[in-house]
Amino acid sequence: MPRPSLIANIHDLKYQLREPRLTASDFVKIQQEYDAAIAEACRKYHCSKAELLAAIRSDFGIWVNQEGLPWPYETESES
Amino acid sequence: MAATATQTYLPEIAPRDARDWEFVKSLLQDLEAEEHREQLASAFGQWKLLIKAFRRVEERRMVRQSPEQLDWKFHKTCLCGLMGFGTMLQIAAGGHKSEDLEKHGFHKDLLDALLRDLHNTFDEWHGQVPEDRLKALSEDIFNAETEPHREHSRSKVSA
Repeated sequence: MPRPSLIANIHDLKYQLREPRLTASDFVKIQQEYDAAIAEACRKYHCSKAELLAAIRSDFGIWVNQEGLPWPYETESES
Repeated sequence: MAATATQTYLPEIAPRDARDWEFVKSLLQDLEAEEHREQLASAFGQWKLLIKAFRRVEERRMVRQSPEQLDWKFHKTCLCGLMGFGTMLQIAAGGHKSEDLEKHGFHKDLLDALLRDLHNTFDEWHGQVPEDRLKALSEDIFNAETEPHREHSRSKVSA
């Protein structure tokens, strides 16, 4: 399934936001970038934020696996 | 200058005497505000921990596997609870200066960003987008794309 780089970038930013050890300042910065990337994609595909996020939701897991990335909470202690 | 509470409600007290008490009262109010900020910071810390717990379960039950009907419901109710509590924190923090709150580790910009992130998650999972609209949009994004797929180089954030 071809994935536009704009969508891959949104997945990447979301992945970074889920990093449990992310610092507060990094979280604020990446969250702003994430919102900006979503807004850009919404303009491109003429859709609302809810529509875009729902449409690409299931692709996020596929992207994580394709990139060979660990799941953010995979290595975290369950205690 | 506005009259103090003592001047308004106890006008029989001589202003000079009242001034001494007003000074003590203002110190007490400062202390109460400080306590309130400490309580806010503590609640903020608890809320952040809850968000992490939520994200951990979300990853396991919603993202890495196909969620069941009960997962959808728990996800929605937990998300709404976190959004509600975060909004209450936002309201409570409105009465304090950012620099006073930051002394206790309460960062308003982080609170706002975490709330935006939760709202995005609500849109993502519970936005009530009609199925036919989702299908058409997914095709538009993933199939009708003429842009050549290029490797997205990611810059991983160090732990």
